[in-house]
Amino acid sequence: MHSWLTIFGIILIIWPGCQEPSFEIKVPDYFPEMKIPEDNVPTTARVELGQRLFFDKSLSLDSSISCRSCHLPELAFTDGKAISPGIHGRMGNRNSPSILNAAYLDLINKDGGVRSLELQPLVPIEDENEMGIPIQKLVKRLEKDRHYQKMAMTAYGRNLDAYVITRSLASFVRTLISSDSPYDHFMQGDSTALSPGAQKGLELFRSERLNCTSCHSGFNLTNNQFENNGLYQVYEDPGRSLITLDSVDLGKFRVPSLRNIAITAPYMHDGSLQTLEEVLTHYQKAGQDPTTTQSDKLKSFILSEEEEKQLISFLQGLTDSIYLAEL
Amino acid sequence: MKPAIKYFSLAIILALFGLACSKDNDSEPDMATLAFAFDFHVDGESLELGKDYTINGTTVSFDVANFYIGGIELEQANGTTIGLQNQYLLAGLDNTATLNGEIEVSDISKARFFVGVDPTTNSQSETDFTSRPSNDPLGIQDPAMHWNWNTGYKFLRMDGNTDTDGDGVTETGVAYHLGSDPMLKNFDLTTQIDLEGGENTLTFSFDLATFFTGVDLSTELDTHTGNNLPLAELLHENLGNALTLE
Repeated sequence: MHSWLTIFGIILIIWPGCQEPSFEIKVPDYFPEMKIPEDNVPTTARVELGQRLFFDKSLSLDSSISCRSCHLPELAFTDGKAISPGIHGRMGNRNSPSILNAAYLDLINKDGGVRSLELQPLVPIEDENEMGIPIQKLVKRLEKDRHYQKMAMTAYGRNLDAYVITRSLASFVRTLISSDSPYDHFMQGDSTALSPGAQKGLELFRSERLNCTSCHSGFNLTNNQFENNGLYQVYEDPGRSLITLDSVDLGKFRVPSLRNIAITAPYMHDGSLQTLEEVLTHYQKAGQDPTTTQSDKLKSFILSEEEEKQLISFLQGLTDSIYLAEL
Repeated sequence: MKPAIKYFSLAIILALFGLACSKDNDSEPDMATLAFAFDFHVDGESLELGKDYTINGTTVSFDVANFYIGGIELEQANGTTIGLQNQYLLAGLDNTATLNGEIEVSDISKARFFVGVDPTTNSQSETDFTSRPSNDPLGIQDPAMHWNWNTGYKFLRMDGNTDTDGDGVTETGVAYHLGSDPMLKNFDLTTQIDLEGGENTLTFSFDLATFFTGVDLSTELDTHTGNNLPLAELLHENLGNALTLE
């Protein structure tokens, strides 16, 4: 009798989560299949909870900033700053990345240190230069909010805790897909989606001479690898080697997607290059003097003025603005 | 001064082993409980959090002194190997003493374990720390033993304050965090521990002075392993001498 009561109790607890309708993440068929953890299949309740948390300044120690503060939808979820100030104006050392299509990353962050989207929210939440609040303290703060508690129970069948906070934020971020740029339309057969100049720029982009696609390839215009792009001879930020403890990875950072690149300045891991023109100048020189760990994919080239305009026109064709209206 | 010896519980639920030494076939073997105790000290002086000590000529105090122990394997004289590979202990001054579990009475001749967390568990690929219950040493701890920027655990965490200008005041924060798979430290200790029926305690000594051998604490203020790998490697090496069985 006792065991039946226990089972009944468990069903009552998990029932709300089981009943939640699944959330359909709209992805074009030319995108690869999205890997989603079995315990965090998106539902409307989970995504809504994550979205509310994403925009809530209570997630920072002094309630001064939210996730949105560094990931503005109108800038493809970046913030236009070289380095984003955290609580009390504290500065970290890396440029805020776009989180569009983060669902497709196996290793998260510029150095790939975080191994799942579910654990990624802890980085900004706990980093003393960002939101600066230990997750236990945040749980204690938010669990007093009856609305959050109700949403947590509906979404995950449990009280609000670190598990719920991280899972729901991951659920929300997973829905942020960028796939509706003029480039996408062009690739799907609309030959007018890119201007003639942008189409010339695409040809340059794909050319062996520029070798851009050796890193920026595939549906998301990145090979998802970690490369040293020759930005410095001596790196203040060790990059990937922080994680691997291998000096061969010194100065390596994730190759970013080029989607929305025209609205995500400044560029590079530290936001040190202000414009696309500066970025192209950097790559024309093939980086700084070659270092032992600089990627061998870097090859110098010379662009004419017209070619530079064409290439930038193509890069502008990667801008997707459809999500701004939906948020 | 109250000795800084604190006890850590090890939930051991073991079936009875067949090689029950000299007991009569009809009688049950004597059973014993075993606790792990850790004596944190600085060159013989018991460690108290927040108290000033002198290490390598620098005044320093500690707020956090924690590390994980796992992969515990004890060899007994009766031929039994007690394997507790899935059990983790969080060694630290704030932990309270409890004593759980029973094993068959037979002297312990070898103790094998590691300081750290095994690679599979550390990868968080099967269960991450947010999924673990609050009473699990591998669950969320306060102070945190998980890294956020690098998925995995801090195998060892020593935080405190140090005197950088020689005035005897510990004004600058220090943080020594070892983690990542290469920082796992294996121990294989030959010992002679006489187990008796009832309560027994295995006491380990952790000497912070030995742990910081060769480290200038007035200038070497932190390692989060990857950001200061030479210091992390030195501490990893020193760990082998700092943690001993009393």
